Amino acid sequence: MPPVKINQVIYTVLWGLLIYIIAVFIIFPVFHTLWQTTRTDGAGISFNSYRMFFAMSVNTLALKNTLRIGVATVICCMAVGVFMAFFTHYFRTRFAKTIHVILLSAFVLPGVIIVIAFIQLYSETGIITQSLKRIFSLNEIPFKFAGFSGILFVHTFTQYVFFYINTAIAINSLDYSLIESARSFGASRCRVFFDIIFPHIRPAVLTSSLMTFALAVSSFSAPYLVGRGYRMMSTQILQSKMNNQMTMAATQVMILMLISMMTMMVYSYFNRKQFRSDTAKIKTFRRVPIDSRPLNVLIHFAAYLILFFIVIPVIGIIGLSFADSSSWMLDIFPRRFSMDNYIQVLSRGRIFAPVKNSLFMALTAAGLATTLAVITSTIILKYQNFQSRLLNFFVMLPMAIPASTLGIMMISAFNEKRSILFNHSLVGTYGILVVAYIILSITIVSRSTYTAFSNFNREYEFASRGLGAGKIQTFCRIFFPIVRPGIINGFALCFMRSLGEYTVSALLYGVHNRPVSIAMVNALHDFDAGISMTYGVLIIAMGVVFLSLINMKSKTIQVQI
Amino acid sequence: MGSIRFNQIFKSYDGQVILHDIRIEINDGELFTFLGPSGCGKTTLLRILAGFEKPDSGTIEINGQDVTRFIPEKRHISMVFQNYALFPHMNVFENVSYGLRVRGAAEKTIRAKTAQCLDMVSLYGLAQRDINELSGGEQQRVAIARALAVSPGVLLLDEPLSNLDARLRETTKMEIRELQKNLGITTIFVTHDQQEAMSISDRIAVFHGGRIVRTDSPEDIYNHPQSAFVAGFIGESNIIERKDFNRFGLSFVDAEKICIRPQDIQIMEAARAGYPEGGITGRIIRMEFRGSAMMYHVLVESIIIKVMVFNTGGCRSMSPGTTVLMAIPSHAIKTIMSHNAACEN
Repeated sequence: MPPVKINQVIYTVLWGLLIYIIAVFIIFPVFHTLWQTTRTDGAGISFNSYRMFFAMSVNTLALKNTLRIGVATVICCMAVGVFMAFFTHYFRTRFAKTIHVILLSAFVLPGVIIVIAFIQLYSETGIITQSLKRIFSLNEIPFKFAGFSGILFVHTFTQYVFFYINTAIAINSLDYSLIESARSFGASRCRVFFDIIFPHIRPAVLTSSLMTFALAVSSFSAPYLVGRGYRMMSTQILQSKMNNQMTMAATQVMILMLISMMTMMVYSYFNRKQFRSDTAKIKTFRRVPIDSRPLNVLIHFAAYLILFFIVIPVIGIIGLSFADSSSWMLDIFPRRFSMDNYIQVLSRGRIFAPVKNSLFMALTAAGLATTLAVITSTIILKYQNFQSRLLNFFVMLPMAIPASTLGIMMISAFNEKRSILFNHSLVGTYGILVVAYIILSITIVSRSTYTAFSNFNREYEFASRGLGAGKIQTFCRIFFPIVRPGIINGFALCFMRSLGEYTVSALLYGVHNRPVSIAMVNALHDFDAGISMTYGVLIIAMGVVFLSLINMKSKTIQVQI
Repeated sequence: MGSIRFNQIFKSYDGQVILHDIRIEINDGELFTFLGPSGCGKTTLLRILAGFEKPDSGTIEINGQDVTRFIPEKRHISMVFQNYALFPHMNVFENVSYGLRVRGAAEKTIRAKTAQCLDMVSLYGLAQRDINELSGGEQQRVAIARALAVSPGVLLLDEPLSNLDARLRETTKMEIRELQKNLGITTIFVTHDQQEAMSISDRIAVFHGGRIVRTDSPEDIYNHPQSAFVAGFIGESNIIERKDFNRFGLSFVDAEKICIRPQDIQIMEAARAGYPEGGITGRIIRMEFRGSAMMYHVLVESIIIKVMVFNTGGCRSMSPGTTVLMAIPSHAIKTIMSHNAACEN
C-alpha cells in the first residue's frame, strides 16, 4: 500500500469538517424552511402557502412597503453618502480627515444603539422634538418620528456608509491626468464631471445601491422600534412567529430571501464588471478647490448638518447614560446626572450578565468565524478546482440571508432533536446565538482573509525558503505577519457585528444567553432609559478599546485620505 | 562556492513545453547569464535551480551533488528577485539578518555579518529604515545584501535591474560585477537585455522557445551568432538569404543565410564616389540619429539594409532619397546555420 501523505490527511479532514458545517448550518436550514413552505399533508409539493401569502392584504402591503423602503433608502443614502464622499475626497474642504473618520464610525456602531438614540432624541417625547416645540412655542410636536419617514430617517443616517466608502475609494482611484487631459481639450468643470468623474464613480454607486437595498429590505430594528405599525416583511415574520404561524413565517422568510438573493446576484454581476484603470501609472487625484464663496459656504453647511445628524445620537447616548431615569420621567430633559447607571450595571450581576454574555459570544463567534475563514480561504486559493469554487459559493451564500430570515430558519431547522446534531436540539441553547453570529459574519470575515491571502506575494515565501527557512518558520515569520492585518480585520468585523447584534438575537435569545442589545431594548421598555444608554456606551467603549488595541498591534484599521 | 550542471531538464505546464532538454555547465565562480525574450523559460529554469519548481525530468548538480529533490532551504542558494521580495514588515537590518537568524546564528555573528553586508552595498546608515522608505536602488541593494549575508554557494539574480532607471542600472550593473568578482560567488544572472548581458557576463546562454540556442562568451556570441535568432536578438544585424546573394555580390558564399552587422557595411554617397568594384547601389529611405551613430535604412531593390555610420563629428549626414553605394568586406560576412543545426550546436 502506498504511504498516505500527511497533507492529504489534513486536507481530507478539513474538507470533511467544512462540508459538515456548511451542510448542517447553511444548507439544511435553507432547504428545511423551503420544504416547510411547500410540503403537504399528502404526498407531493404544494405552493398553497405562497398563494395564501399573496391572498392576504397585510402580506402584500408588507411586501410593497419593504420595496418602497428599499428604494427610498437607496435614494436618500445615495444623496448623503455620495455628497459626503465628494466633500471629504473631491473638494478641498476643512476638517476633511476628521469628518472622514467620524463618517466611517457607522461601520462599527451597532444599528440598534443608534435607533434607540434616535428614539430618545426625535420621538414624541424625545429631547430634540420637545426642545423645538418649546423654543417655537408650538401646540403640536414639529414632526412625527415614526412610520415610513421615521424608518427612512434612521436608514439614511446609518446605512449611507456603503455609498460613502465606495464613492470615496472611486474618487481616490481616479487618474488625475484624465481630468487634466479633458481640461486641455477645452472641457468645462461641469463637462469634466459628467464625462470623466461620473462614469468613473458610476459602478461604485451602482454596487452601493444594491448593497444598501439588500440591507434596507431586510432591516429589522428600525421598522420594529420606530415603525409604529408600519408593516415590513421583517416585522411580519416576527409577527407570524409570535402568532405561531410558522408556515406563514417560513413563506415570508423565503420571499424576503428571494428578494435579497436576487439583489446579491445582480450585485456580484456588477461587482465583477467594475472597471479598473488599465493605465500602468496613474496620477494621484488632487482635491479641487471650491472657487465660489457662496457655494463653498453652502456645501460646508450641508456637510456639517449631515454630520450633526450622524454625531448627535452618539453624543446623546453618552450624555443620557449619566442621566437619572426617574428625574427624566417627570420632565422632558433629565435633571440629575450621576455615575449611578454605570455603578448599577457594573456592580449588579444580573444587570451586568448581558454585557458578559455579549462579550463572550462575540469573541467566540469572531474566533470561530475567523478560523473557518482562514481554512476556507486557504483551500479556495490553493486548490482552484470545482470543489473550491463550490466552497466559495457556500461561503458567499450567507450574505444573501437576511438576519431576520436566518433567525426563523434556525428555529425551524433546530427546534427539535436532529441526528445531524448528534441527537441534540439547538434552540434554547447558549450556543445558538454564537452559531447565528458566525453565519451572519462568515462572508465578510472570509472576504477579508481571502483578500489578504490572495494579495500575499509568493516571492516572499520563496525568498524566505531560499534564505534557509523551513515551511513552518516561513509561515510563522513571513506569511502570518503579512496576512495578519486581513485576519484581524475579519475578526474585528465579526466581533463588532456580533457585540451589538439585535435582529437574530431578538428571535433566538433565551434566559441564559440574553445579549446586551436585547437588554438595552428591554430596559427602554421598562422606562429605564439611563441603563439602556449605559449598555449602549459600554458596547461602544468595548468596540473602541478593542479596535484601538488591534490598531496598536497591527496598524490594521488605517483610515487614510 | 559551486559549479552547476543542468542535465536534460524538461518542464511543461498544461501540455505546453516551457523547457526542452536544457543542458548547461556553469563553472565555479563564473557569472553566467540566461538571456532571452520574455516567456522563453529562463526564469523557470532559475526557479527550478532554486528549488521553487520541480522539473518534469532531468537532474541538477551543484558541486557534483544531485540536488534535484532537495528542498529550497537545503540547496545553499540565494536569490535576488525581480521585485526584490523584501519583507514589508521588517526593516533593512531585519531583512538582511533574516537568513542568518533562521539558520540559528549567534546574535553577535548576526550583527557583525549584517553590518558587513550592509557596508558592502553602502547602506550601513540605513539599517533601521523601513523598506517603504527606501528608493528603488536602495531596495535593490538591500536585496543583494540579504542574499549575500548567508554566504551562499550560488547567487541567483532574476532581472534585478529591470526596475531601475537607465543611469542607476548602469552603475548598479558594474557594482554587481565588482561584488561578484571580489567574492567569487558562482552567479546566474537572468535578463532579456542583451547589452546588459554582454557587459556583465563571463558566459551567456541564449534562450529561445524553451531551448538554449547558444552558449558562449559574449564576444563569441556577438561575432559568430551562428543562428538568425541569435544574430537578431544580440545586436542589430542584416540577414540575407541565399536567393538574394547575387544582388549583393555574394555569390561566392556557401551558406543558406548570412548575417552582416550594420556597422560593418561601408557606405558613401554615389554622386561623390567612383564606382567601387563589387559596390551595391541603394537609396536611403529612412535615417535614425542615435547620438553616437547614424543608422541608415537603405533600399536595395526590394530589400532593406541597415547601415550604421559612427558619428565622428566632422561627417555630413546623408538625407533620405540619396542614392548610395555600399561595400561589404568579406570579414563582415557571418554564416548562419539552420535552426536545428544551431540548436544542436
